[in-house]
Amino acid sequence: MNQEVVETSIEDAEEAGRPFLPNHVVEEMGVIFLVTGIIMIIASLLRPEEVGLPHIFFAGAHEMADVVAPWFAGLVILLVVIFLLALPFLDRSEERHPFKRLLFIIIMLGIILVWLVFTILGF
Amino acid sequence: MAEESESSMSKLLSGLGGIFTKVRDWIVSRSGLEDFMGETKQKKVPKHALNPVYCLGGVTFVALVVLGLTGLYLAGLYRPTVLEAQQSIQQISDVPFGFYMKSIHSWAANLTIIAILLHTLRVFITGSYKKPREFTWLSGVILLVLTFSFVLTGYILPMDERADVTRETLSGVLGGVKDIPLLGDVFGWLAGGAQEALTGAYWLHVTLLPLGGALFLVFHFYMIRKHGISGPL
Repeated sequence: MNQEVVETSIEDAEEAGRPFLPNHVVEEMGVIFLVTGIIMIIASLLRPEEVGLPHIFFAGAHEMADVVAPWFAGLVILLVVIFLLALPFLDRSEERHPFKRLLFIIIMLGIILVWLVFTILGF
Repeated sequence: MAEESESSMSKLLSGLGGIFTKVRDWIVSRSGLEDFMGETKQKKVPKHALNPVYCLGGVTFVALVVLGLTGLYLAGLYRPTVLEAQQSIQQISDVPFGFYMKSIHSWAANLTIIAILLHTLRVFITGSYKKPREFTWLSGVILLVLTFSFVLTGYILPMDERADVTRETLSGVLGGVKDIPLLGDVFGWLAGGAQEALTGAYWLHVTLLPLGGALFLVFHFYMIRKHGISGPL
């Protein structure tokens, strides 16, 4: 029953949507030029090694490996990946609204919070 | 005289037009492009998906293409040996467009990570991983892991101070894995010497990861085409 409601709403949304060809394709081309342009402008203005962004992405893992045992940090990362892979099989309800999936939202917020705390500590 | 010349010109154009039409029809009939184009023309993008946050997957893809193209250029100039790695990276800046290519490659990597993390978060928040899109989500998570692996292995390649720290931390993080059969063989290079780690990182960065990334990307797109994007909340 629920499935039917979802399918109908997709059809309605598509009906009210925009043709893929050419309208959406033209807009996507615009996005491609915009993204490429932004990368090229930043690349010509800033040396990546001076900003050190990659360090931000891995600072959390570095810090966790320092604070707890490195193998434990590896285990935590592995568990997060397994959690993400298993997510569709753990969260089997048909509810998609975030406020109606509080358990999984809280788990994900917890993961993001831990990552942010270790990243701030490590950077 | 002028009329004759005009007439032969129009005959020539008409002949060329005929050849073009025949070639086009041949390509369309052999490739099945007609069915594909017909189907694509009828397709509509749902209203809720016109929101810019639904563009993040596309942004990730564009950044990956930029990475691939600039990576091809850099691979021709980089030398994966402990003695020459750092020097060859410095020398890239002396080659025409070298510094620019190196900088674009690095920034595109940063953009890829930011875009793929935000894209994953959007899919999670909107619950778009649910039935029947499990395979789309699984391939997406694998692509997320592959992207981080790309950046990590790329991080080792310059063989500078930061690369040493990354290698040591990775070696520690994967410490327990090294003793596990098969997995240990795959990650064993991290525990080896600097040259072994560099060779392993380079091999992963330019062969296995691009190949795996391309395969899962094709599968991811196929799944999106098969099931479409999820409906509005």
